[in-house]
Amino acid sequence: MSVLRNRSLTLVSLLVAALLAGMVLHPTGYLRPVEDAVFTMLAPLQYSFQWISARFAGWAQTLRDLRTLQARVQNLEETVDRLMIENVRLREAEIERANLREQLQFKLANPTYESLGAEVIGHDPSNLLHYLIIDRGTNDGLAVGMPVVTARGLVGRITSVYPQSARVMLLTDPASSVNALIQSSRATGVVQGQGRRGLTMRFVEQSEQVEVGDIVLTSGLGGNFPKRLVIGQVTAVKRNDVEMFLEVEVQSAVHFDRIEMVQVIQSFTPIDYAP
Amino acid sequence: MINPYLASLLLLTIAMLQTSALPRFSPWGIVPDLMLLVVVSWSLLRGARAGIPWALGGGLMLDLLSGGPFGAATISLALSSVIMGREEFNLFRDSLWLPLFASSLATAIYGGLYLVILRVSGRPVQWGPSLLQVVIPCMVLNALVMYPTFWAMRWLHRRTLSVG
Repeated sequence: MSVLRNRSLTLVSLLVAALLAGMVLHPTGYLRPVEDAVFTMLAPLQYSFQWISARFAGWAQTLRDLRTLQARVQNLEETVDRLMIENVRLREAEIERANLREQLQFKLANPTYESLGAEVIGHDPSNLLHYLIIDRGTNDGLAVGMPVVTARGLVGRITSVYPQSARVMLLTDPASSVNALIQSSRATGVVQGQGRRGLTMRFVEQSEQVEVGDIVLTSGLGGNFPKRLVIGQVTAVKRNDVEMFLEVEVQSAVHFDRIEMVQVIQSFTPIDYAP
Repeated sequence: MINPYLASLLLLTIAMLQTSALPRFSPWGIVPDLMLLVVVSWSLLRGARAGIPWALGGGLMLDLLSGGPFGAATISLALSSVIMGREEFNLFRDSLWLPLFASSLATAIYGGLYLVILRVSGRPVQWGPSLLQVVIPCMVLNALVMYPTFWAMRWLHRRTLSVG
């Protein structure tokens, strides 16, 4: 016990002496060589400690930043979601604007027709039939036989009507037939639906001049459709010497697969229409 | 046995999908005959006796929405259900090829009978173009859609069978 006590007393004495010596020698510069040696030995160690602590400090900062970053990412994600929804809404508004502009063009081009806009809400469940269901009915003044058009041309006519909806037979339905004429030559015939093959104009006399590209309009004969509604354009003419009539293939002006809005002509009453 | 109200709701949903939703996504301008696939699947899983009520209910909904002769869809679905619900098909119920074969055969039967009914009712029918440009492409499209439909109906079949 006394040996230990002596040792610690000695150590304390030496340290106190070193302190006193340093306090005396440091201002005079005599301690400089000692300081140089100490710093030279400690520098690498200091560098290592600093490097490790910098890493730890970086990780700690990252953890602190992580929470902030998470909040920021969440905000940005919400902003992106909101902008995406707004973008979709704006695109739909643009499409609707284009549709309404088409309808307006039809009204401006045909001011004598009183028409009512309607939206397509369904199609016939059978692929063998060509019908649309629109969201207007007897409550809106619709009746069976009324022609249905878009700004591009004739779509078909109403075959059934209910209080809030109506069924429209498209021109392409095999049961559809429209009295028509060729705009340039005034040749008359009947445009019949061919299902997915489109339209065919029949009963055009062989002597008539019909060319590819000719516009086909409703003739008004028979009283089932108004005159001068665009049906489509001639894409092929089949002449057969043994036949009495030409067979004219017609490309409809309307894209039936993409119709979303139509106009129902209310100011026209068909004559004796029987669906 | 499945709850009749649930079955009615399901058939109504399928009819709405087929007429109002699927046409927007129709490849080649053709819509899958979803109601036919559901009826055929149910008939394969539970036989004709269970499939007939589905064919009648689903067919009536389609006929109400269709511009064709009333009853055309119902009769065509019923015949498809009777044929697909035969016990001979039941032997191959677990075969991976059964849905493909069944949908193709059912589509041909459904489309062919529908055309016959249209003709008998006085509507003009173009047999060649209708078969080549509608029925055959429908067979291909229905075959693609048949597998998810059959699996969904099989899930329903197992759920309702266990409940009893």
